[in-house]
Amino acid sequence: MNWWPFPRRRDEHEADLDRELRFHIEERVADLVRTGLGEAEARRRVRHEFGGIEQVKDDCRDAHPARNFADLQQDLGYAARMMLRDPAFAVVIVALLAMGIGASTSVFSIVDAVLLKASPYPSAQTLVRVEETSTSRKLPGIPVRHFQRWADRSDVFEAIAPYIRDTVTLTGDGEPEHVVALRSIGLFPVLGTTARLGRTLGPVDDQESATRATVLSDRLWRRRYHANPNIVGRTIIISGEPYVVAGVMPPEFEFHYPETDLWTPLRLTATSPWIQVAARLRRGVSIPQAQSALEVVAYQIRKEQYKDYAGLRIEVKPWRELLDESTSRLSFL
Amino acid sequence: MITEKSDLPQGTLDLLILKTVALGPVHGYAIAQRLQQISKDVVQVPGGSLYPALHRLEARELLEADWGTTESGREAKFYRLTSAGVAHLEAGSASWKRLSEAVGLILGSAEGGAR
Repeated sequence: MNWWPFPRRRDEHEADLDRELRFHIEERVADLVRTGLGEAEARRRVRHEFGGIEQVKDDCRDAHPARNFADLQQDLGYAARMMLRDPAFAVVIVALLAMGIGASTSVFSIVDAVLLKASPYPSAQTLVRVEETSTSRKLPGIPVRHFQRWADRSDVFEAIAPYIRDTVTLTGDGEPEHVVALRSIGLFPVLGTTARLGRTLGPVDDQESATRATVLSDRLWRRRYHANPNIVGRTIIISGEPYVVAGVMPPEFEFHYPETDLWTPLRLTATSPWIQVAARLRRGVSIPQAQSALEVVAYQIRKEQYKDYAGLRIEVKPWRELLDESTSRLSFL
Repeated sequence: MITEKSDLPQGTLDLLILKTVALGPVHGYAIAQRLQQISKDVVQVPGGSLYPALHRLEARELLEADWGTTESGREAKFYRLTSAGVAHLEAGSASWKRLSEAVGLILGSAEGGAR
């Protein structure tokens, strides 16, 4: 009666081991009884001498690695025979396993992409976002006049990057096309990311007199410029203005607006639209410290422009939090 | 007493077991008893150390085992030395003797120097 569907050899080894240890225990008990001990006391003492019997068995099994490997081979052989005996059943099981593994892998891929790799920028803990909030109304960004009051706080921020989202028209190289451009000052130094082709935008490009330069997304580079490896240095027309292509970003790079296809320098004037601000905290400066430095500025603005900015606050938030906001819609997973 | 982790240098318990088995086929319980008797109760090997050691030696083919009957008519697993086991025992005994003589020399000379 061998109902247990595994090969016999392992059973034999187990039975042998059990018999061998039991023999030892019985002999020892008998000897102790012969010296005048009660049987219960003798058993108790032998149990104590022997230690945990299952532990001893485990140690004995571990002494036979080759035997364990042989068992594995037998199990695999047995599995193969069973699958051949009932192929339909085997196919169903394999399909179920495949679906199960597939489902968990895809969920993991999403979680991995969304949560674990959520911060693609170096030293993400010092990367912050500065926002204005007001009790009187919702603010879509920071007015340039406000930004200029603290843009020089290099004691708090190592680097500050104001940016705006803009829709531009690409002409030349085919049909005119509307794409999203992110215009910024000093954004790439703040993020610390590099281009896959050519270079990113730097301080040189932010000077008034500089030739206008632009960086393309991997997507745009492939779609409109057919992944041309010699694109760097070429001039393209963005909303009627010539820009020299400085570089192409890696495909995984995205910042704030995933639909961005172009990055260009931002020329700030007092009449510029409201800006967004990303910044890198100076080493050793905490978010609350940065926050209270900006509170002084907010206090002045509240006093001077109390009609428009009663209850104004300038908040410093970890960039991480922004990412969490944008990914929380995936939480139904 | 040899505890689970063994107070004796690595490999010594193996050597003692091989020597005991060399006297003739013997089961685990008798090995433990003989070690204790011969060493005048200094060496006491608990089952938790003895049996893993026996199985290790069996897996290394220094020992082989068969089921047999004891004098009292009980079935027991008897171990005996293989030829590899004999060679291992000889080499091991020789190097143990060399080592213990060397240790004795050093300890003896240190004693003399301290005086």
